[in-house]
Amino acid sequence: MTRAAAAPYVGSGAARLLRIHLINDESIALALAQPDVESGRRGLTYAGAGIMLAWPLGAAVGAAVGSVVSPEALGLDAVFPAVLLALLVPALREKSTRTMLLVATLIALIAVPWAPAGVAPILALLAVPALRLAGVRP
Amino acid sequence: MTAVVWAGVALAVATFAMRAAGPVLAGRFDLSEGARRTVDLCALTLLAGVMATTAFADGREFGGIARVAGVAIAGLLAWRRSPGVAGIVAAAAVTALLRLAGAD
Repeated sequence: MTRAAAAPYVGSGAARLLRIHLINDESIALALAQPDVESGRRGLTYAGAGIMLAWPLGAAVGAAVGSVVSPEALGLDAVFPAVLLALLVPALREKSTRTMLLVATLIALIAVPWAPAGVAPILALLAVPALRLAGVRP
Repeated sequence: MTAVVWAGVALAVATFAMRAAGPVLAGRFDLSEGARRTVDLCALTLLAGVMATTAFADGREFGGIARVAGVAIAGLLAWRRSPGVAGIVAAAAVTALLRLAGAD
């Protein structure tokens, strides 16, 4: 689903093949947070390329450092959700999408203790039809 | 050894195909304005779900108040339009300091 949302931002031709390789949660979130397709395309490209470099490099550094200091002691486990939350801020400023995102968050948190591993975030999707049924049109 | 390399190649091709499938299929159908909006909303709710679970949980357990506080501070900073780096550093720093102070 997030992949389909990336459709307008991958462009066409050879650039499209390259950008498809750059699609991930973070780059799509950054693209969706931009006001127009052109800057969204740039966002996807730079975020995707940055992650393509930073991820393996960071993994290598982390493997080296992690044997000395635990990532939890440095609070590094808070960075990933913090970045996602920051990327959701533009949508949180709009009242209609804010309600939907709050409901999505609640659903995911309620699902965590009993849903199979990794399924809780997917259940958050239920917020979309739920709000449609409730008559809210984001 | 060659088997591992070929398995790697197969995985790379399959991963690329999965990534390509979304945009290519979405480009093939002319989505109405409403359908496009729905797809965008679904992506946003998925991200919110990932954000919430990674902020609050460790597996099926509560992950501790320190990380939740760090993420909340970062969200507040982003809301007040602080630079992105400030939010990232604040999230890690607040979480680390709370843990240092003995918070779970």
